[in-house]
Amino acid sequence: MGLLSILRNIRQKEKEIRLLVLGLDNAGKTTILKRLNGEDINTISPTLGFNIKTLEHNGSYWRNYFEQTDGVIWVIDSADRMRMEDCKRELKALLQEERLAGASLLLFANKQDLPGALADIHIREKLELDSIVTHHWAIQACSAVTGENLLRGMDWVVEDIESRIFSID
Amino acid sequence: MNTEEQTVQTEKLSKEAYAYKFWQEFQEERTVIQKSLKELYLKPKSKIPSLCEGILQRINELEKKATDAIRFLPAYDQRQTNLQVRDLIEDLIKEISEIKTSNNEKLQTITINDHQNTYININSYLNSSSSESKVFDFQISNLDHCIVNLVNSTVSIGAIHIKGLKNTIIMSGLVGSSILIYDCERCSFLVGCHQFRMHTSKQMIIYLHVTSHPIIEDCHDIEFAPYTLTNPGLNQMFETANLDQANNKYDKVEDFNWLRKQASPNWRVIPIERLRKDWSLLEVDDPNNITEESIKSILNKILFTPN
Repeated sequence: MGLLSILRNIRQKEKEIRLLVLGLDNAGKTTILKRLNGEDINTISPTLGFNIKTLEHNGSYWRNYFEQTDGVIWVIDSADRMRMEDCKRELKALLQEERLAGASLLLFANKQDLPGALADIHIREKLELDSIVTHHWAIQACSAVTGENLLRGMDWVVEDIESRIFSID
Repeated sequence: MNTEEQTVQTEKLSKEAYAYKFWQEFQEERTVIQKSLKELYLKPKSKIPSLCEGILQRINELEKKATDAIRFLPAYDQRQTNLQVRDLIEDLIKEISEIKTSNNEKLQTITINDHQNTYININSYLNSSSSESKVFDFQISNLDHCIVNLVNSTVSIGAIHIKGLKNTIIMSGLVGSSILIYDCERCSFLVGCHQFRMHTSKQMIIYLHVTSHPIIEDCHDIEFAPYTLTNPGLNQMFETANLDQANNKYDKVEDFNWLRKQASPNWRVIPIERLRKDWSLLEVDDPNNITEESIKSILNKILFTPN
């Protein structure tokens, strides 16, 4: 089932979920969104703002974006070995945000099409994901360029959220 | 023996029986997992990620069963099952990284770091016996007074990550995805790519072919120029990198620190009289015999000179 059909089904049930896509610059966030939306990905320019750095400097503007977030998608450039430490630190800081308490966390180990991409299992170690106990999480290796495994990740995060918030009724 | 003693006795027995049965099943499943780990490298590459995931899931289930059985298991067995589960996970990680390195004609990162006064040629990183075309990612960091020549028609570049270079020239072919630059000073890069990002750098001259808007952030004294490397096989290199040769946005720079309509003071297009088109002085026949003096003299001809 594709993302759009999942979202459509949720809408039909008059239910909406809210996902935040975050990560360091150059992680591939825009490419993932465009790929999921069926848009052209060949001429994407780097996006201004809406990254963790702006978040620190411009807290008040950003904070609204955390409200009512059901799931966070954290995107990782799997080939960026030099910044894995930065990535770990920013992710840790993000998970301390109170308004994200209870949100499901999907980690996309993106850019698996690149020759130097680290496998998801190594990223899991480097980012110390197993120490995360505050959120339901899952890591999914993927490539926004080839589209590989994007829907699998989306399926997980949507199902995880649904089982959590819609099971009440 | 009274009834109460009997119940205790039976309970103890059944606890032992359960522990024994669990141990047997645990070892059976462990053997099966070990076997599939050993056979992993025989499987087709495309299947490996899903197979690994399957194995990991089985390991996780095994671990869960062991956790559930804690009430019945003697302390020794608890420790053993814990250790054995951990070993399985480590074996899995080892297996995956071995498979990755054994496929190194496709899977590789070349790291170039910590050099001074050196001429670095990509050819010295390649296995000269193989003439196959290869794809690499590059991680380049902590260079000072270096010339890096990455141009080689048999090499395709996936991505380049650059950090902490000073007084250094990189001459590169075309990159299939993006270039990311941090903390550089007085460097000149000759590169082509789909996306270009440069942060916290100054006094840079960038000869660039880029098919989306290049961005700079926390940068100043930056000059942009079109990619002027002309060498045989260039058309083929554009094709391999899936770059549109007719679309170059090197002069459509977006400065993330400058959101006004007026031009950013942090960058400009290089004045035409300084636009370099001939890069032959960077081609050195014998990199080992080049003196520090001649490296410095080449660098001074090309690098940014403050007015």
